Amino acid sequence: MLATPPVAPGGRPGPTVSDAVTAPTEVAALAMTGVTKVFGQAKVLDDVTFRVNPGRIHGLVGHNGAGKSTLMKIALGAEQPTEGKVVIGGTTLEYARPAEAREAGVGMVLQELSLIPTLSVADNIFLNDERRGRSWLIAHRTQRREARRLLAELGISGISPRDKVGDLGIAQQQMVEIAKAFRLGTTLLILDEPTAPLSRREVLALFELIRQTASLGRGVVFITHHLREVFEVCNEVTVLREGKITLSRPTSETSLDEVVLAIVGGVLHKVEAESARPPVGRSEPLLGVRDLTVGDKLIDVSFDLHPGEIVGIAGLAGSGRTVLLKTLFGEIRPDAGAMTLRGRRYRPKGTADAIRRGLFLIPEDRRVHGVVLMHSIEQNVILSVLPEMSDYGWYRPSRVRRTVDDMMRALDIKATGPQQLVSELSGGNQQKVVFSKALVADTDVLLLDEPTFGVDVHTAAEVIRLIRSEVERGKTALWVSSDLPELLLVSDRVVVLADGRIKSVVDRDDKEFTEDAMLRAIQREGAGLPTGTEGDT
Amino acid sequence: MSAETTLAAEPRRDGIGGWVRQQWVGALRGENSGILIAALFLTILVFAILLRDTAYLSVGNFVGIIRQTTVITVMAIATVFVISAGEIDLSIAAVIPLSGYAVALLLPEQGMVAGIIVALACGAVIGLVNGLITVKLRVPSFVVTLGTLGLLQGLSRIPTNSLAVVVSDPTFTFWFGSGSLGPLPVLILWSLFATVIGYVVLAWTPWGKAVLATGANVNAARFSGIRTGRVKVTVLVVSGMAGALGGLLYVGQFHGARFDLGSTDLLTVIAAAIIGGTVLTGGKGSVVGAAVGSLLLGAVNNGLIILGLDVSQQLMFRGLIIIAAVILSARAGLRR
Repeated sequence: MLATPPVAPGGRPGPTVSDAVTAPTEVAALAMTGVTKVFGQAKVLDDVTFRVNPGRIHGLVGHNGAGKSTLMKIALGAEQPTEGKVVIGGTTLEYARPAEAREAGVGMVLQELSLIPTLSVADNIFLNDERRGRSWLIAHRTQRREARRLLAELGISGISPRDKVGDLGIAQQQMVEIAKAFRLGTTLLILDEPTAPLSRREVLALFELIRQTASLGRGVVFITHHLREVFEVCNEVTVLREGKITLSRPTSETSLDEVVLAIVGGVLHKVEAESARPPVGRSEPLLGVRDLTVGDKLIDVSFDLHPGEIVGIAGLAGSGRTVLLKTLFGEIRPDAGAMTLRGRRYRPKGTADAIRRGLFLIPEDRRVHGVVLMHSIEQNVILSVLPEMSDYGWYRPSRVRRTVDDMMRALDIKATGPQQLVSELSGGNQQKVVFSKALVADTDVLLLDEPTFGVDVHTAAEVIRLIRSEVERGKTALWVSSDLPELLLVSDRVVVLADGRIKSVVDRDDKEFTEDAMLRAIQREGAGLPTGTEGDT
Repeated sequence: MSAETTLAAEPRRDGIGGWVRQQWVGALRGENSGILIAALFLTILVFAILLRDTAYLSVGNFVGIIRQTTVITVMAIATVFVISAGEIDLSIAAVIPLSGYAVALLLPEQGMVAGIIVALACGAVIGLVNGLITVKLRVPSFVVTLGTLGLLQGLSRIPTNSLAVVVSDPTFTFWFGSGSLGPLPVLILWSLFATVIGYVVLAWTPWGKAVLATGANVNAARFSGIRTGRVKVTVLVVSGMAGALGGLLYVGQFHGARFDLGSTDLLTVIAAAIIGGTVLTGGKGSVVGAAVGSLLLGAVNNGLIILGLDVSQQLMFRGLIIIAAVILSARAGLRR
């Protein structure tokens, strides 16, 4: 365990005592009572009561899939709760229209940017709430003036209201998005992972802005994976775990360790005996990476992948994990460093070259990059091996049928037949189709980006078993996952990435091979708490 | 994620070269029409040299060009809205004969006002049907309007069994095609009117912003509280009415309605919008660009006719211009 001071002194707005929390007579910025949400069989939220008082900054943390996003979608009126009530600044949501929450004074920064790239900054800020002159025409000049004042007020520099949003950098777009949300969020401001594309300096500016927002008497909900940020800026923190609240208290009365425990479920993660495997003989590495550098996204990354092992990559979004996989897959050209494949120099000319040489990327977003939804299972499976499915340019239906049947049987793809459209399959079966593309292509190095994301528990277990059996046959896998327990379950070694650098490499028999240690290790440098103890264990 | 990300948007370029470049890229992105106007003058210059012994470079010919392109301009401006909202209306020119017959048949019995109202209502209803099928039944507008295109082509032969109907009402023909106010032909005023209205609505009204937002990113628009379904239906209604107005203007010009009025206009209309800088994938549009694009196509066509090229060659030339315009706009998009 790391001895981390539980509370950062200073830098937090308002009184540190929880006076506002204990004053229930005050009209809450957001009051969600007894909210339950059931999707089909799954209970995503279970009797959640969540209250944000005016003038307070409330951190909301938890695993992916713990229910944070669903909770906020309900607060935004985008999703209707199965049970429970949502009141925003005294207005009860009726769920007649999604614009309801907006009218009640909720501003939000979504994970995916919701700006219109072809419109100007001012047009975006005032979208659907345009300033008008005496006529029905938009008062562009007024809008620009107000936008300029808003940006200045928020301390956002270098952006002109006339700039086209599509021409701005991603961090600047994020600032515009925040400005837009700030203007609308007169009662409540919800920020879902707003810091991911921002640099440290911009994060500090954002925190200042959040504090300012709260000091105006608005409630703020701040969702993040960066736990240090919670202690840096929030007055209160609520932890969701499997749809239930496991911790909710002022940040001054809790600690990073306690929050981490609430996220992972009270018990330290134990490595199942089932997953203990004979140590991998350190033979010739299949894939070697030396000092790989891609801009400032990936810096001096070096590691080896041996046949028969699964190496996990732990890191938050923006840590460089996806960039690493894409570089290995030939989609991004590295700026510096060397790669070797089976002892020979490896410089893929593109993804087709990488596949030909035995690498395959199971992409993060399977619906976009993984499968062609509107095509059949058969067409998808053979997509990566079209040349092998034909002789002299002629398509061989019998060979195709045999290959696809084999794959569907091997992976137990549940479908009416090879002609069923992939869009009609469940998420788990879609992911199996993606895997079959890797398998038919005779892959030696599997690059996996969140391979079990959005897949049900049963199929996820199947996927894990499948990858392991492939690896045991002398292949190797690089596994990126935000799900730390899963990562610890499957990996022989875990490479911890943060800010584009390898922070540590933890072996399975290391005492740091635990979820809470990893969760601490993947946090960004320099945020909030004095860094001190990390890294030197 | 260091200092670079906090830099301001790319600095404005200086000098004439920078200005021209900016205007050019801007025109292709649908932001201005400066360079397009330059292209228009260049085209006229080329033809003026080629055709120096003819009447090409005369006021009369240019007035003629603007008159001939009025209907295209009106429809191209409506098409800017439709494409900007992420939809397309292939039936816009097929409304022309229907609205033409409506006004031509009703005028003698019911009077001019009734004829005009019914004609425009025909366009509005067709647009409404297109819009509702697109939005409620989630059929792509490309398919819906391809269907109504065929439907209307057949329908417009029915009222008179493919015969032409003559219109001789002098008031109507004066205001919808043949008249002049002093030196200015009425048709030029219609072009100007449509351009000004279109420009103001797209750039200066919330509805214009809603159209652009819907075409650029439907989800973001919806999350901003914009009723995107309603926006799409409305642009298609506007488009249908623009087609109907086109029908009125043709009837006024030709003093009669025929079933094949405007039958070759669809390609020209879409071409004018795209050349003007409207992007086919939605979210960007330029009304002034479409008007200038329409004039450009008219000037080229007129020049080719005087040069003595026949219809087949004119059509081929128009096709080539469209391809060239789309390639250029795609390149401007790539550079970002």
